Formats: sequence, structure tokens, C-alpha cells
Amino acid sequence: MRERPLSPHLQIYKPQLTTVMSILHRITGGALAVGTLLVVWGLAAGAAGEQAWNAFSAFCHSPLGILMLFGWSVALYYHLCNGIRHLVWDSVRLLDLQGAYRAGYAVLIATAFLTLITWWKVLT
Amino acid sequence: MSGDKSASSHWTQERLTSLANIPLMLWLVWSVVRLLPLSHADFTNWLHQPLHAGLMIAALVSVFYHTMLGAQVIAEDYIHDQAKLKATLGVLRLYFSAAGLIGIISVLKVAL
Repeated sequence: MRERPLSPHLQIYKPQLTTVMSILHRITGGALAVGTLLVVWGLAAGAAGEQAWNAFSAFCHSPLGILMLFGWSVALYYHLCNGIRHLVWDSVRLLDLQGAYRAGYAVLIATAFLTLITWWKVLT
Repeated sequence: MSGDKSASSHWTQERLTSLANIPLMLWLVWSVVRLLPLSHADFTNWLHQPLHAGLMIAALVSVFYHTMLGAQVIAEDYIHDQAKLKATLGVLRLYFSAAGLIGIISVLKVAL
């Protein structure tokens, strides 16, 4: 198909909570798709035996491992909370601008809260 | 996961797997956090219990099915060449099915 000209959009529109959270939902979904491999690795390692499990555990305790787990948890909680916001929209609620914004802020707060208590529990 | 699903069934299944994922993923994260530090013995004893193994399998199925549905939406948005789209979806389907299968087989190996 021949390349067709597009009107500028991203270069012009001011980023807003709604649009940013929307693309974040997609990005976190993609990140989770990759990160769920960590879960599968863990299960496979556990099934394989103690040696494989220890290697997996060592990775999880490494700086890169902790970073990935942290990122995965943030992505999970965000995608989960914003997913609920989507389900609320599917029930034809909160579709007005004010409702969408309020729900959006609630999602961000919930994500931060869930991430915090999870890692608080992990580190103590 | 067949390829020829109508749009409305895709929509419904995306919502159903989303709803299932909420309790399943929260359960998974909290189970892991609660059990830390997770020795191999802890892991085996925990997954050996039928309830945990069952929920773990349910989580794997729901999550990878949901992931495929989402990946399909993304691929359809950005890949316009129909041949490339079909190929990409095929590869993704294979990848997520394989990952899910490895997970389920691992759970069964420990639990049974």
C-alpha cells in the first residue's frame, strides 16, 4: 500500500491524563506479556529441581532481577487498576470527562498504594 | 485458540479473562509475597496442594489467553499488510501457547 500522508497528531496534541493513561495501559500490557515469562521460568525451574530453582532465585535477588520484578509489579498493578476502570466504562459508567479523570487519578493512587504495600511486605 | 473469532466474541472473552485475572493475579502476587523467602522446599510444598496448583493453572490459562487477545488488538492496529499480520499473530499465538503450556506442565509435574 502506498504511504499516505497523515495529519500531525502526536506532535500537536497536548498530552492529557486520558490519552497518556490509555497508551500506558497498552504499554503495561505489552510489558506484562514479556514479564510473565519470568513466572513461567520460575515454575519450570521449580519443577526441574533445586539447582534450577536456586539459579532462578539468585536472578530474582540480583539487581537486574529486582528491577525487573519491581517493573513487573508496577505494570501489573497499573494494568489491573486501569483494567477495572475500563470494565467500569464497559458498564456505561463514568464515561463523562470528570468521571474519567477522577477514576484516572484513583487508578494512579491505587497503583502507587498497591506497589508500596507489596514491596513494603517484601523488604520487611 | 482458533484464529477465526468474530469481533464480539473477542470483546466478550477479553472482558471475561480480565475479570478472572483480577482475583487470580492478586492471589498469585500475595501468595508469593507471603511465602518469601521462597526456598525450593517452600515452593514445592505450596504448589503440591491441589487448590494452589489448580488456581495456578487457571491463572496461566486466563493470563495467556488474555495476553493473546490483547496482542491481537495491538498487532491489528500497527500491522496493515494482511500477510504480515497473519504471520505475526501466528507467531504470537505459538509463543504464548508454548509459554502457557510450559507453565502448566511444570505445575502438574510438581503437584502430581
